[in-house]
Amino acid sequence: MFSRDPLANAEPLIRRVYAYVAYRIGDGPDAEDVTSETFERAVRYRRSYDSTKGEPIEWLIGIARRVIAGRSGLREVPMEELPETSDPNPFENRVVSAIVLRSAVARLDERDRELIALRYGADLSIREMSELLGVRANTLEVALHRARGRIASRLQARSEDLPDPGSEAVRI
Amino acid sequence: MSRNRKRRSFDLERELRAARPEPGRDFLHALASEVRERGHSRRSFRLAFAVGLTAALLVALSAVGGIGYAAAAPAHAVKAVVSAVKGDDGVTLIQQSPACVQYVTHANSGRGNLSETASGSGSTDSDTLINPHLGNTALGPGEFPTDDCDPGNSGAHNRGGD
Repeated sequence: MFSRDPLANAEPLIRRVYAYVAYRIGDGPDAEDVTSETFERAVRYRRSYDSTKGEPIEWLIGIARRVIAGRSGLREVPMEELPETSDPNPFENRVVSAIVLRSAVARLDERDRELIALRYGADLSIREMSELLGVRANTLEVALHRARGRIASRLQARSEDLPDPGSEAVRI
Repeated sequence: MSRNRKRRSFDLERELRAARPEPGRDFLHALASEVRERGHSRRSFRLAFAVGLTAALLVALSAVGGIGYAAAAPAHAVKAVVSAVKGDDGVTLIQQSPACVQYVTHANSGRGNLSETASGSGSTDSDTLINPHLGNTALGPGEFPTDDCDPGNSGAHNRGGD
C-alpha cells in the first residue's frame, strides 16, 4: 500500500542531479535553477514514483531531462575563457584541469554530452542508462567510448599539459 | 620535466568523475531541507486528516448509539448462529413481559383474586370477570384470561415486538 519515499535521502540525489545538469548545461546558477525545479516537481509528484520501474535517481534524471528540454538558450562554457594550465600549484592545476574537462564536455554535441552527463554526472550504470534512454547496453558502451574519444581529442588539442593526440597514455 | 608531465598517463573516466560539478554548499543544504520539510508537512497533513476523520466518525456513531450496537453485534451474531444450529423456529414466547405482569396485577386486584376461586364452582364476583380480550364473555372460575399476554389481536403467541 505505501511505497517508499523516493526523496527520503535527498542530499546525495541533489548532488547527482546537479552534476548531471551541470554537465549538460554548464556549472552555475542555471544548473541550480534546473536542479531546484527538478526537485520541486519531484516533491509535487512524489506519489507518481514507482519503485518497480527503477531507482529514485533514474526517476529524478528523467524529470531533469524534461526540465532541460523545456528551457532554451542555456549557456555553454566558452573555451576562450579558460585559464592557462601552466601553474605549478597542484590544487590549482586540479581545478583548472576540471574546468578544462567540463569545457571539453560542453563542446560535445548534445547526444554525447547527454551520455557523459548520465554516466559521469548522475553516475548511472550502463543498465540504468539503457532503461532510461531505451537503448541497448552494447550500443551505449560504444557511444560512450566514442564520446570519450572526442573529449580526449579536444583536450589534447588544447593543452600541452596532456599527452599527444593518439598517444597510448590516454585511456578513454 | 615538461616532457615527463606530457607523458603522464591520463585516465579520462577517472578524471570525468573527479571533475564532476558539485553544487554550492548553501544551495545543497537549502534545497535538501526544503525537500525534507515539504515531505514531512505532507505526511503530517495526511496523518492529521486520517485521525480527524476517524474521530468525526466515532463521534457521529456514538451519538446514535452505534458504538454500543456495534459492540453487541458479535453477541447477536453468536446468538443467531446458536439458534440456527439448534433449529429453533425463531419464535420467542414471552411469559414474563412487563405487559403481562401489569395485566395480571390489575386483573387480580381490581376484579377479585382468581386464585381464591381457582377450584371452586360457585358463583362469585369473579365469575363475572370480563375478559378484556374476548369482549363480554364471562370467565369461569379458575380460568386465566390468557396464557401469553396476548393483547388479543395477534394469535396465540407474542412475537416479542410488544
